[in-house]
This record gives sequence, structure tokens and C-alpha cells, in this order.
Amino acid sequence: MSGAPSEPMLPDPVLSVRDLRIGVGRGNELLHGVSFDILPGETYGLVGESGSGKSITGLSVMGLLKRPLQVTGGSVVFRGQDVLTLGRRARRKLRGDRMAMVFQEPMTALNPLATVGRQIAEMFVIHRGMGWAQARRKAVEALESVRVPAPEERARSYPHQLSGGMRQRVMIAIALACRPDLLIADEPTTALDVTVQAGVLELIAELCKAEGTAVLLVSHDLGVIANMCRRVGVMDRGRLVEEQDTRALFENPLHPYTRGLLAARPRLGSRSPAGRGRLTELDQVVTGEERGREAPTLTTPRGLRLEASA
Amino acid sequence: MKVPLLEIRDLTVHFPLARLSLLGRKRTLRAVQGVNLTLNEGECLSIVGESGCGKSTTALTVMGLQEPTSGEILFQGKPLTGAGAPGRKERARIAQMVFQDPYASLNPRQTIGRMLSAQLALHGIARGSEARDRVADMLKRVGLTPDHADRYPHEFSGGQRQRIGIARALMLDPKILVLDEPVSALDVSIQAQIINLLMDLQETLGLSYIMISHDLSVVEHVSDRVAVMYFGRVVEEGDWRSIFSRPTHPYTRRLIGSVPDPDAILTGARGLPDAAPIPDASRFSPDISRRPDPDEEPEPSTLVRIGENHCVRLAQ
Amino acid sequence: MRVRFNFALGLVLALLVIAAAISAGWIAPYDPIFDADLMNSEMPPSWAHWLGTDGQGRDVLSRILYGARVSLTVGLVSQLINSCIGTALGVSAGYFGGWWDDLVNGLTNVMLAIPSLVFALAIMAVLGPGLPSLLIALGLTNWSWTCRIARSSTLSLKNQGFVQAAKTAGFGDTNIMRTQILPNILGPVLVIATLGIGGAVLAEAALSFLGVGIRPPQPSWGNMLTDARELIRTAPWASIFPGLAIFITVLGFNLLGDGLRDMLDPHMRTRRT
Repeated sequence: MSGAPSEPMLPDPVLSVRDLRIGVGRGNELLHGVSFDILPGETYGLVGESGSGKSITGLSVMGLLKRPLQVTGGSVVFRGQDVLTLGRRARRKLRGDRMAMVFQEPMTALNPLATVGRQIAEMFVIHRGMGWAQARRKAVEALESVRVPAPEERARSYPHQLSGGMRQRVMIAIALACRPDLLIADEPTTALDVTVQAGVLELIAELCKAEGTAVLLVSHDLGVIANMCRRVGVMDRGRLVEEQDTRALFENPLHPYTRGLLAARPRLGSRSPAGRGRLTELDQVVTGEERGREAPTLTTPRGLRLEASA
Repeated sequence: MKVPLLEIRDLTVHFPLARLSLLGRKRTLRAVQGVNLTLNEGECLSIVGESGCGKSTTALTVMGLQEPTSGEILFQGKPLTGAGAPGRKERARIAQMVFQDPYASLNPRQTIGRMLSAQLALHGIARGSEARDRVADMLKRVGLTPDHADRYPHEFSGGQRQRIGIARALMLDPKILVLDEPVSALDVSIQAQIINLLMDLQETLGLSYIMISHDLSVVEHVSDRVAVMYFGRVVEEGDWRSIFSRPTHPYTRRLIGSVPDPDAILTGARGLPDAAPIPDASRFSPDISRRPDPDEEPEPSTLVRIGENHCVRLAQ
Repeated sequence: MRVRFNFALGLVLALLVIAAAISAGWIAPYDPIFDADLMNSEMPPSWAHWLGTDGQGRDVLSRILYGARVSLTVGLVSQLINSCIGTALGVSAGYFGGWWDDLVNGLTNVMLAIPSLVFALAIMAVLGPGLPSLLIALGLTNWSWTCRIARSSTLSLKNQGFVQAAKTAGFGDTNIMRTQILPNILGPVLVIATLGIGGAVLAEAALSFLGVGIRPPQPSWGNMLTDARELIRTAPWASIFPGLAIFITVLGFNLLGDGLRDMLDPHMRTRRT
């Protein structure tokens, strides 16, 4: 929808991925040209099953793809700069400072041999050039902002002494310490108990909203996506097959794969008192040919909006 | 009154923990504390709760993979634990288990045909070509094909491996199937297939299920009765309608409330159904506002009936 | 790839030694014991004697070829005994746990603390010299690492679904250890065994050098070194070539073991997408 001149223009996206391709070895392509934009302060969700390529998309934005995976084409423009063309050192400077990532399994992402306070303080020392004493004070403040009770005491704990939910909060504190422009969260709550999940998601949403941090949330859980994201991209077998505002996606899914995904999940409260019905299986809704292969990306054009934040 | 198929009576499982200091007090992890459950023939009982609540330990005890510290388990009135318990082979014909992790639950060095027929040979059910036929039948029943029998586990996807796990469990014709998070490790699209398969099998083979899960949407869809566990104890129990339409115990309410349900979120209709009333001057047990120390002695409490098929735990 | 090179080189060297041992009877130019020409003792390498002659006029090359038989037999057989003992103890300790595990661990720690050569020496003193005693002595002293590896592999497998599934299917413990656990731990055990062959060859050389292993006139690389001790100045080739033979054999099996370890490692790690 092209806008009338009197309507406000959209700000430049903080992240603009164009035709991203990722391959492994020779000739094996895992990602077949994915494109999407994230506006400043927006929460954008990438949903898909295992093998859809959603995780490697997030990793390639951060520059954390491990051999033998590598980017074979396309561009990742972050704040106006194509990060794929930057050297290693320049990319490393961005990480943690301007773009940060939170992973699924906090125990493996945190250093088991350093106290959590030190790990947060490190961010300030490395990226802001602070001294350790001041950095440690900031670390305690950061723990407080992620609602960890008794932050001074907790700062002296080691990761293994904390529960899963706490560790994830520490990871969030580390990630948001330098107030990055983009936070990539790769299945941040999948490894947590369900009663803890809601709290962690709320925390991410709140903190990012306060600082205007854009969020790329990668998840297989439609419920988590619905909770957090303004816009959603659905990925299947290395392609982005549909992209819409979240509410619109749930109300009116366009692509057969999305329809199948939504139908397959049992919804709480949907069982009829008469007895058990069968769940809709994906291949009853979408055939093999419709999946992935050459499927056009169905997107709603990004309309002009008055607020750019989620 | 028909004898329930399986009865778990006052099951308690304690594990010793390391002492905090050299001369400190002995500490125990009270994984399961006085759990009472019954499974009737042909029904699906789900045990829900989060990590550490004791549901998996309970399942392992039913399977004989974990010794109870006290309490008993009865199958058709006969003991399954303690003195008089049947040996491994006899047990194998009573209850079988489908494991959570499809990647770790198959021996990587055995073809699945060999794995399935070895069970038949062990119990003297069938050998040679008869065994091969039975294996082929079972593979077809779970949605695979007979020529899959000559393949190794790594040649299959996660969903297929779970089907193989189900085939393995059914090979010996058990009466009870214990399903430990049967679909948690699978993609959403595969989950639907496996759940449908399990429901079909239950009807055609007349099985009774005990399902362990943390996924309430699946539990609601599949179960006849539900037991909610919290730190080793059953805090609420009843038929699925009671539990989901009138969740009463604060922990049950918290669990159901945390399920991210897209429709509810998007339509803004967040709200739990009303709880069932409890007798005056009683309070729920345990108090879920603070995290209990697994080592401490639980407060005295009892399961109180609050509906026709609905009990909740209250402090005494 | 560097990994493959290790394995290939090791394989070549090992096969070389094995070939030498097997074909000694056919290709050795002289009899290693009886073709002793005192007139021609301490002769440097020549066309008649490619590697020279020793103090008693025996052909060094032929002695080395026959000596390969001894070294290889000791290396392979004693390592086989080691592996059997270590695997049996390790798997059962890991599987059953409890007091048996404690006992085996204690025993393993003791064995690791005692210098193995000294222990072997003590056993040889009791059993007397000769090949059978050597095999027993070395077989009984070097099982500790195999035991450790077998035990830790068993521990990591024990709680995997398929072991529990076998229990629930009604299989007995011995059956489970044999059909479920053993085939899955052979990889690391094989690596340790291959690396141990080199050690066994060295141990044999040392024991024979000390006079308690293979007794002359039977040729063994170790006792060839003993005999050639006094000839260092006059006939250095009598020590150099047996030493070289030991070096090549140990190097070959070590490289083989290293290469195997590197090759098996990535395959054992299952990747989840």
C-alpha cells in the first residue's frame, strides 16, 4: 500500500535480511533465500519446526555459524551496514554491544567457572571500557533489572547454583547489559518449566520495550510467538513461506503449511465433552508438493504505521 | 466393585543426598511422598507437573526400574513391588514403557527387526519366520513398513523412532503402557500423528495408559483422568473435565494459566475458569508461594473430595 | 586431512611389522640361532649380511625378523588379555555400581599406582622366564586404562533409554551387558587396546633386556639389545637395528591408535538438528 504523502514514513529497519542463503559442504543448501525486515523496537518472530532453518538464520545474523555451515549468498544489513562484508574483528565488536543473543540452554551458554556477577561485569569492561569495580556495581544493577532477588548475593553465585529460570535471567542481563539495538532470542524458554516461561518472556518484552531494543524471537512454539511478537514469519524447509501480523496470521493463515501447523496443535479448552477427537495431521492439510519447494512467500505488505514499537 | 487394573498405594521414594558438611545431618530428597493413584482398565491417566515433581520417578517405580522406599503397587490386586513381586520377565508382560527421547531409546548397533524379534525369542512367544511375521505386523500397525526391519536406528527420523519405540512396547502384549513425555521431543506436526496413533492403538488393543507429561494441551486432549503433582505429592486429581473446567488447587491454576494459548492471548480472554469451592477454614497444601526445600518434612495434609470425581489436597 | 595421514602411516608401519613376523620363516636369509659363524662375528652391514652380524656371527636381519614374531605375539596377545580383563571389570563395575564398583575402582587405583614394569617383573620372578609367563605377566598388569574407559562408557550408556528398555523387556543383566552395552563401547576400548600394543612391545623389550623375558638364544629385540651392550663401539649396528625395529613398531601402533581415535570420535557424537 503506497502511502499518501501526509502519512508518516516508516523508520529504517534495524535489521534487513535479503535473500539470505546458507549452505553446508558442496551443493547442499539449507536456506534458500530468506528476506525479512525488523523495525527498531519491534518484536519479530520466526516460527518453524526443526530443520526449517530458523535457528541458523538467527546465528548467521550474529555471525555465529559454525563450519561446515556458511552463508553462500544474500545480505544482512544491520543499522545500514551489511555485516556479512565486515571483517571478523569488526563483527566481534558488534556482538554483545549492538546485537546480542540469548540461547536455549543457559547452562551451556554461561561460563561454569565464573560467577554470574563477573560474567555480566565483563560486558561493561569489554564494551564500555569500565573498570572492574564500577562494572561489578553495574552488574548488580543489571541483576536487579531482571528481577533476580537478592542481587548482591546472587552476583557471587556460580551458574550451577541457580535454577534454570534464574540462569536465563542472567543470560538476559548479560545480553541487554550494553543496551543493544537487536536481541536475538533462540528458543529462550524451551528448556524451562512452563510456569517459569511466562515470567521470562514478560521480562524480555518489558526490558526491550523500555530500551527500544528490537527482538528477533526464534521459536517452534506458536503460543510463545503469539505472546511476544507483533509480526511473525513462518519458515518451512529453508524458506520463509508466510509473514503477517501475528493476530492476522492466527485469524487468517494464508499458506497451507501455516494452516497445517495451526491445526495440528491441540488447543486448551477445545476438547468436546463427548469424547476424544483426532488431531488434524499436517499432511491432511498440506501436501508434500506444497511444502517448501518453490513456494511463494505470502506476505501482507507492511502497512504504514503510526507506532513502530511492538 | 471392579478391581482397578493398577493401584499405587502410599508410594514413597526417597534418595539420599550428600550432607552439607562432614558432620551435618543426613539429607534426603523426597522425590515421591505418599502418592495414591489408581488406573482403571481402558482408561488414560495422565500425571502432570513440572521438572522435579516426581512424576517420572513414579513412572519408573511402576516399571520396576526404581525401588520404592515404602508403599506398594498392585496389579489386579497382586503386588508388583516388594516381596511377592514378579520377576523381570513376568513384569514385561504386564507393563511396558515408551521413552521420552527417541534418539537415546534405541540401541544404535541393532537393527530394529532384531531388537523386536529378540523380545519374542526371550519370552518364547515366537521364533524364526513366525517372529518375522509378527514383527512385520507390528511395524505396519505403528505406521511403518515391514522392510524397515532391516534398518538401523540412525536411518530413521525422530517421529519414526518414536513409532519404533511404541512397537517395541507393544511387542509383548502388555496391559499397561507407561508413556513418558511421548511427544515432547518431536516437532508439532509429528506430535499430532503420534498422538493419533496412540489413541487408535488404545482403542483397538484395549490398552490402559499412564501418561507422564508437562504439556497440558496434549493432556487435556487425550486423558480420561488427570493427577497433578507438585514436589512429590498429588495436589489435585480427577477426571479431565473437572481438572480443566474447574481447576482448584493454586498450583493447578498456575500451571494451566501459564500455558501460552494463542487464541486466548490474542483475543485478550485471559482468565481461568472458577475453582471449585473448598470447605471453610481449610487451606491448600502445600503453600506454593515459596519453593519447598526437598529435604524438609512435608506438612500433614490430605486429599479431600470436592466433586464427584475430583479431589484436592488440603492442609490438615 | 591430517587425521587420515596418521592412521594411514600407522597402518603401513604396523602391517610392515606383521608381514615381517609372518614371513620370517620364508624370507630370513639365515637361521637366527644356528647360523652362527664366529669367524664372521661383528661384521658391518654387507651384501652377505644386510644388517651385519652380532657378537656370535649371527645375521642381525634374520634375528630381527624372527624377533618380530616374539614382539608381535607379546604385543597382541597380552593386549587381548588386558582388554578382556579390563572390559569385564569395567563394564560390570559401571553397570552394577555399589560395592562391586567401589572394589574395582580401588583395585584399579592400586594397579595404576604400582609401576607396571616392576609388577610384571615380580610376576616373572614367580613364573620363571619364557614366552607364556611373559604373556601372563603383561596381560595381568596393563588392564587399568581399559577398565576405566569401559566403566565410564558403560556409565554414560546405562541410563539411556535402550538399556532401560531392555530391562523392561525382561532381559537379564548379563544379556544386557553383552548385547546392549558391549557393542557400543568397543570403539574406545579398541583405541586403548591399539595404543597399548606399543606399550606391551616396549615392556617385552625391557623385560628381555633385563634378562627375565625371552632367554637367548631365542631372538627377541630386547635380548638382542642385551647381547649388543658390550659391542656398542665395535659393532653398533647390533644395537641400532633392533632399537630401530622397536621404534618403528611402537610408532606404528601408536599412530594407528591415534588415527582410530580421531576417526571414531566425530561419528560417535550424534548431531541433533
